[in-house]
Amino acid sequence: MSPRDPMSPTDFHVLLVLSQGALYGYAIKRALESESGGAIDPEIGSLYRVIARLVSTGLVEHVEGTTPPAHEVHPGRQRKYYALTVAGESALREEAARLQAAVGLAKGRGLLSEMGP
Amino acid sequence: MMRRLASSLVRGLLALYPASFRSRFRTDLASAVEDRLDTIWAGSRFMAPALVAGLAADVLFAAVRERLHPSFHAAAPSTRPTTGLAPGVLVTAMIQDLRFAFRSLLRRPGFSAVALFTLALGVGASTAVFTVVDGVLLEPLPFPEPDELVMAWAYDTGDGPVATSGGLVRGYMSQPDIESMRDVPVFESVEGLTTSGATVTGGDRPERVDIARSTGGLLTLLGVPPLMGRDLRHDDNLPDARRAVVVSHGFWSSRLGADPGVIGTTIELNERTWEIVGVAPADFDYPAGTEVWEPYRLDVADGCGRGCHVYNGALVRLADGVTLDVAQQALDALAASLSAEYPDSNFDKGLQLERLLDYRVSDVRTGLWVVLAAVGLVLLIVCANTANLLLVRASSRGREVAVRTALGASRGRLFTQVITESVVLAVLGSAFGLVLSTALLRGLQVLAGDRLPRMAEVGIDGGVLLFLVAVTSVVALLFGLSPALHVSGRRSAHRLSGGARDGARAGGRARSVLLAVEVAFSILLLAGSGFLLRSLDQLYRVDMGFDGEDVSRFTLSLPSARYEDLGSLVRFYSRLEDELLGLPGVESVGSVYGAPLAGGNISGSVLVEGRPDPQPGEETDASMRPVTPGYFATMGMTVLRGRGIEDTDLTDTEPVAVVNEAFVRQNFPYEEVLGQKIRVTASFGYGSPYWRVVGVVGDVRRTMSGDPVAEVYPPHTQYGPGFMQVHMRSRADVPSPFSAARDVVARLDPNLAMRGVETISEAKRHDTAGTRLFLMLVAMFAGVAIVLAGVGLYGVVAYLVSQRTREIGIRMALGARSAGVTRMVVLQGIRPTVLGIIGGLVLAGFGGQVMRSLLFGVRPTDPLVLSSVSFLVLFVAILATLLPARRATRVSPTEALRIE
Repeated sequence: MSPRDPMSPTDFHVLLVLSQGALYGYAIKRALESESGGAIDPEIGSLYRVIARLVSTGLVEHVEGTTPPAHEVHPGRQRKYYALTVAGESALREEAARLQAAVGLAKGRGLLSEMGP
Repeated sequence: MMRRLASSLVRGLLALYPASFRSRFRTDLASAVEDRLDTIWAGSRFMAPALVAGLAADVLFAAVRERLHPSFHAAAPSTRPTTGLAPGVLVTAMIQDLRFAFRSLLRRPGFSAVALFTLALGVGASTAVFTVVDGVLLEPLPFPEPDELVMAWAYDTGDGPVATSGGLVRGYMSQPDIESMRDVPVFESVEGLTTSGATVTGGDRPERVDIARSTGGLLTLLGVPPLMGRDLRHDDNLPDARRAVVVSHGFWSSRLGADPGVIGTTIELNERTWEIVGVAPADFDYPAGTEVWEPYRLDVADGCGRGCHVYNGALVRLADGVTLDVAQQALDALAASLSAEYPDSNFDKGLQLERLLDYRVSDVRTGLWVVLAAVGLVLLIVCANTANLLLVRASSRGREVAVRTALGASRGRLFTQVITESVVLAVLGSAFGLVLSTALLRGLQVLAGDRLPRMAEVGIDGGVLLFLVAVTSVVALLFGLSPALHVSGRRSAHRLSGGARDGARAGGRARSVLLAVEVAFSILLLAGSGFLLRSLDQLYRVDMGFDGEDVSRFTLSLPSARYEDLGSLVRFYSRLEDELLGLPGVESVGSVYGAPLAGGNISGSVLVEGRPDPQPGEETDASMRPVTPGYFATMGMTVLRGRGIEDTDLTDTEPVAVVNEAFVRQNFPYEEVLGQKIRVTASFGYGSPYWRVVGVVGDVRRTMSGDPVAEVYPPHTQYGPGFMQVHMRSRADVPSPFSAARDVVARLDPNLAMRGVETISEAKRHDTAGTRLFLMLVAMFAGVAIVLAGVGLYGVVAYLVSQRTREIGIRMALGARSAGVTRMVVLQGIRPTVLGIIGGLVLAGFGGQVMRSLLFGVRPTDPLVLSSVSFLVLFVAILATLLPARRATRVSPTEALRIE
């Protein structure tokens, strides 16, 4: 497999969110917001374009039969749950490794303190 | 309401996504939107409009980008690596589009100014009026569980209502009626209620205040705890209870110095001492304007049984879960059983429920809806006009687009740019609109005065702002999409070679249709204001039956505590009238109870000596108007037969009365009325024997739009009461006698408060204030509409002329005369105008039916109104087309041929 192009941060974070388990659209938005500390918080319209792209490229798939979480507020709403595919998981690993390498370089050049956030 | 509006707005935008995307994600996306709106609504109300606007804009842009750069391919997952636009690139593109939009708007300042002006006007006017309608009609009452609050009214189920107002009959109820209602389980609580005035004495100067009398605590029923002390209770009504009152927050702070120890102290009300038991909270204002709530003491209504209708109606709280229909059925059953059980007092007496909110706005409801419709029409005109402007703009850009396409701009990118331009216009337009709406709202508040209930509570809030955002988003989409499709949908290469002309044909028809629609709406609005104007004119032309010119008046109410018998009342008023007659410039003086264009009315059944008493349900009613001898002359009323009330009619002379023509028509259509002995079963407590009819006067109207009713005028010396409206006719060349009259009253009795000080002309203006308010509003919109229609017409014709420059030049070169060219151009604009006028006249027929209850003396097909608005529109249309037509005739053939 040829090396991929670097992912967009939003794609990366969506995949990262889904690595924890299948989620529906709005739950993905909320998780993105909290995991990125608010740095990545697309509105619904933009988010679904990202989801659609990840589905088209086979990194994410729509999964059937996921039981809604207990705190589900609106049991009547039709939701689809999205999960990582095998390809998605490996793409996520690849990207994480690439970022790790980049972070290592940055550290080596004194751009990040060891104790830093 | 706002939540639903936001939801349908954003979900409507989802339709813009490509079909393949929609088929896969639409329901899911809709759920996510709902989730997002839930979160927005759970947060601050202040932020909600901005967040919803952000969401709507994001969905709109995402949908457009999805069309340009699909992120989703319905086919099997491809192995193609993802190359979608990264957010950074997108932002750059967006900023580029925004810059481009601003630049291109600045390049055409005329076009931009007209478009912005149009938008700001539409958005500003609609927001201001929506604010009013939202605040007055839709906002719930400021009490807990407002849906449970209703009013109950009595009415005559037989022939003719007891009293009517605003479509629903409103009559009177007695204490036992209220108690019977309390026994019906569908009602949680029921309190009889009537409003009145009282004089507060004991301070520096006497003051007249509005009071409410009830069977018990209104605050308790409405669910509002008193600020201090307690609310009234049912036992406060008992004859031996201490006199207890609750005072308003305003009364407490202004009159009682906001004394925290006020509970248990006393005030003098109508010269009796009352103990203050409670103070209402600051925002409690029910019935509107009330300053003192007092119990209707049963000793006042002593000997009053079911026939003693002291209450105007009853305020009711329905029991939990009881609907209005169920409650009405229960009340119908009660009314029927009371009618059978107490035929003397309750025969044919129906009881009707009405929601408290409906009651409070009933007089202005139709008017407000008409105004809202007017705004809606203006908004549609704004959209049509702006769409027209942008269509013109889009087709004049044909060449630019073609060049840019040839240079490699993608169709999608051009589409986005045109959309961006529209969105920028809409956002700027709504910003100006917001400023305008604040100013308009202030104006409306001043204009409405106290005509609109709850008007003071109205302010532009988050919800209305959201409405503004929704309106502009819709407008942006409406007029942004059509030119955008127009631009991106044409085969541009063809246009490069063909010049700018051929786009004109197809677009021309759309523009003409838009123009006709605009004209039709303008006609509708103009006709609406024409009808109202004619109504007002008719109202002022109505023969009121009296001559109110140079008549001024005031009201006095003598407290029964000090004016205990008829003799003391008569002595006071006769001294007062004598002294007033001595004032400089005063020509005549006369007093009445129940004057035209004023409050106060007492009526009862007519009995005729020598005729058997009428059967229940067959009585005729007449109003009592006790007068002093000078009244008829002061008001310029004509005594048609017999004589008027004279100085010789004294307390101990033969009881007499004068009746009006309506009374004669009603009771003595075939007999001589003079010399008949009659009485009316209504009294102020001073004798009601049979009176001999000694004269007949002409009818007068109580209100400008109402018909005269049967009236009986007994002499004040024989009938009372202590409450009289004193009228003075003075020479036109002397200043109004009010301040001199005030001195006279103060000299005679320093504890009396003068109320209702006004001239008859002022009373007339007040009586027509509602019609004038709606007239001004509708006329304002009609004015806007015709200006916009003129601008639209001008724009389209000017464009058509510019498109035909070459053709016109050639015609001129071949010898066409300028008059002919002018005619040709003008006709082109007039054709859609005439179509629009015809359509508008049809619409105006329907519109007039809707606003019928606002009209007086004019039919919704009034030919004068319809023909004058048609000619006005035609005139404006000709004016708007003449300018471009004149320009067309100045085209020089050489220039025309060079232009391409």
